[in-house]
Amino acid sequence: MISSPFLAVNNAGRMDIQQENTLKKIILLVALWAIPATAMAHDILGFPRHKGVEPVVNKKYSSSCGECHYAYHPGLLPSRSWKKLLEPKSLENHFGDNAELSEKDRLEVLAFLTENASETTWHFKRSVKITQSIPEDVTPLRISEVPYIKKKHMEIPREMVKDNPKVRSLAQCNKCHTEAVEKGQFSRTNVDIPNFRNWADLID
Amino acid sequence: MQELINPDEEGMMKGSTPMKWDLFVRIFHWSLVVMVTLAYLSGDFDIEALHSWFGYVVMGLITARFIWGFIGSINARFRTFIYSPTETMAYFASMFRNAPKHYVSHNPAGALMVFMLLILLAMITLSGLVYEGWGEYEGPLWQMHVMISDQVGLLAKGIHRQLPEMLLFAVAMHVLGVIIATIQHKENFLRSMWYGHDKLKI
Repeated sequence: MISSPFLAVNNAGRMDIQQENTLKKIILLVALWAIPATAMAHDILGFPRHKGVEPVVNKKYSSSCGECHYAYHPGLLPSRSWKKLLEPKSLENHFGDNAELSEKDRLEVLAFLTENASETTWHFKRSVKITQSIPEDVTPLRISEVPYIKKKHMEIPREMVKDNPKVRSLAQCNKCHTEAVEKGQFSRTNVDIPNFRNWADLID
Repeated sequence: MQELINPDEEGMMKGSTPMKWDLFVRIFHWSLVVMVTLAYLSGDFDIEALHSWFGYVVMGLITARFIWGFIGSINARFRTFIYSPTETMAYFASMFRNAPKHYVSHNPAGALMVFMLLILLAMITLSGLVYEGWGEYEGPLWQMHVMISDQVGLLAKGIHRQLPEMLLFAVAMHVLGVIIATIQHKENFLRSMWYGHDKLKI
């Protein structure tokens, strides 16, 4: 009846031995090519090799900024955001608080943050995605305004964050991301929302 | 049709074997088993980098199977195992009487399961692709700058989280169906899916 356009499979539902051998060879070739090709893509094209953001630490940053909030990893924002946030004028009104620093401290913290900003840590997966998600003409001042991070937290209901007395704000990353501070890890496997231990069952 | 797809009665070509499933179908089936398992586990344990690759392979496999459904050997073609509702109901009735009609290709119940699994897998991989492009800033849709609205992205995310559980249930039903059919038809389906036929010697 109908014969196959390229592999001439006969109508009785069999491929002959020659056809089987050809198919075997094709499959073997594809397999041989596919394995090194993906490995090479990661090495040569510079795909991010690490999870999370780079867990870098700076004493001055931790002591001056970490006093009031968790010292957000520099890889969570691009350098243009850090520059704007650390302008003397913006520090005077830092989301409603005065966070003024001495000029020496300010420059040290600024250098640390910009040198390790998201676009510089291309070998860390989350930093790459943060950088990629922000349009070039946009300078977010809040980490929660970064499109990638915004999308990741979109479906979380109000009562788990804002109305949760143990969280209060999306800005308190470390309240739920248990390995954020020390390891820079933000995987959903180590998220623990206070008062909502079964969050994974509750969100759709 | 029937006389054409019965390999035992058909005159055989030289070098050919009385095949139920051709080599493509068999490699497809077991590759799918392995890749879906890997994709499910890597998704569950949040091993993202590998998960998308497993997803692409699954997508490639079902695309190839779809094409093979039109050009493959007769038992593998969709037209061989698309049955009318009447025939499907008749099969179920004969199944419950414990005297099911025998088919060389998929029987109507098995065919329903095959289409169910293929549709589920297509929806899971497509939603994964859309979610990847929208929320993960990776993959072909992101590379091609395809604009995806938040609404569509969230929908894809929801589908990609819900359907795998349905797939798991469907796989369990598939295995159960094969066990029942193996007993009722006295045919070794597992052996057919590995060697192409269920005879010990051809």
